[in-house]
Amino acid sequence: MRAVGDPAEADIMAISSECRIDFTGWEAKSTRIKYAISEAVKEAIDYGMDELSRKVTQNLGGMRHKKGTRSPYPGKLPVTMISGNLHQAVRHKRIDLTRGAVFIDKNKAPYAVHVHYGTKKMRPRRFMSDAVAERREAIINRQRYLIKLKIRRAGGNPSEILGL
Amino acid sequence: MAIRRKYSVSDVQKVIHALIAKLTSATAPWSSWQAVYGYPEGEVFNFTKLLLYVDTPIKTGTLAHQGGRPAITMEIIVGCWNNGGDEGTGGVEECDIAAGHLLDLFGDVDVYNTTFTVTLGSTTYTNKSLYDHGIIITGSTGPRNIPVEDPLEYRREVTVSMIVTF
Repeated sequence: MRAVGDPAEADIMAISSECRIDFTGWEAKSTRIKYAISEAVKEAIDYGMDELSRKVTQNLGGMRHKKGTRSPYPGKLPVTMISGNLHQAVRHKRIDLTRGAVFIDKNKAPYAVHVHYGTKKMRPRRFMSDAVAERREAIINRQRYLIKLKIRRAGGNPSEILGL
Repeated sequence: MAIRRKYSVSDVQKVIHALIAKLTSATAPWSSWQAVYGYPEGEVFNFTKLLLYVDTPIKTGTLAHQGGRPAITMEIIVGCWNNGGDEGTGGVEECDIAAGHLLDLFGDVDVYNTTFTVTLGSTTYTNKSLYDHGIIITGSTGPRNIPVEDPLEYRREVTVSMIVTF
């Protein structure tokens, strides 16, 4: 307990009235980290789209066979090619900063949906969902690494910021 | 835990199929539908009932933890396909009812109350629940509308996510 007129009490009063905290360094660091995160997210999404496009294209790059002949390995990946249109129809586009899409150009290969989901006479070859399932973990790990790296380079601590 | 690590794909598919087959064998409205193991091949389209097919599961990740063998996360597609047109199997409404029942089945803890019999390898497991087999359902999404060639056919797919322990 402090007595009235205690010198320590007077010091506290003095500090509370004259205290100046300089936040400019913190603000600069915060801005730097925000910028680093937005750059890292952009890079991470680009990586995800590239990786997924590559895997989908690989799933569509099976053996060539002639029109009207049976597939040498029906119902299995990679999808066999007749015209090769589906193989060339893999596209990707960025939707916004945090989202991208890998898709098949419907004008180039309108039958893609039947190849993917199958029909009564043809087993499905899920070239898209198999690619996602196969590469999802690797893509997320790589994206996490990219984001952590950028934050660290900007002077931040990724575990504090991301809680990872 | 009945699922065998090296046969996890076929074992999980068999277990989920056995669960749905049990429901279709007794409980209404499930009894109006037919459970099919794997993607429906040409011959099963002769059935007059709506088909519930259990496709091959896909491994989506690994859950490592200290002091035990890692569990895996998997996704399996369960689809409904009515193949007889409006007169045969109830049309789009029946297909949506089946999809709704699938979503509800895998979205509720009641899924663990159903016991069924399944043979994995050479062992028959009698009246076991999903939980007894080491399968924990983490969610179900869908139904996704799947385009079909015949205008009188309707097809929906539900994706079920699960953790498989060994």
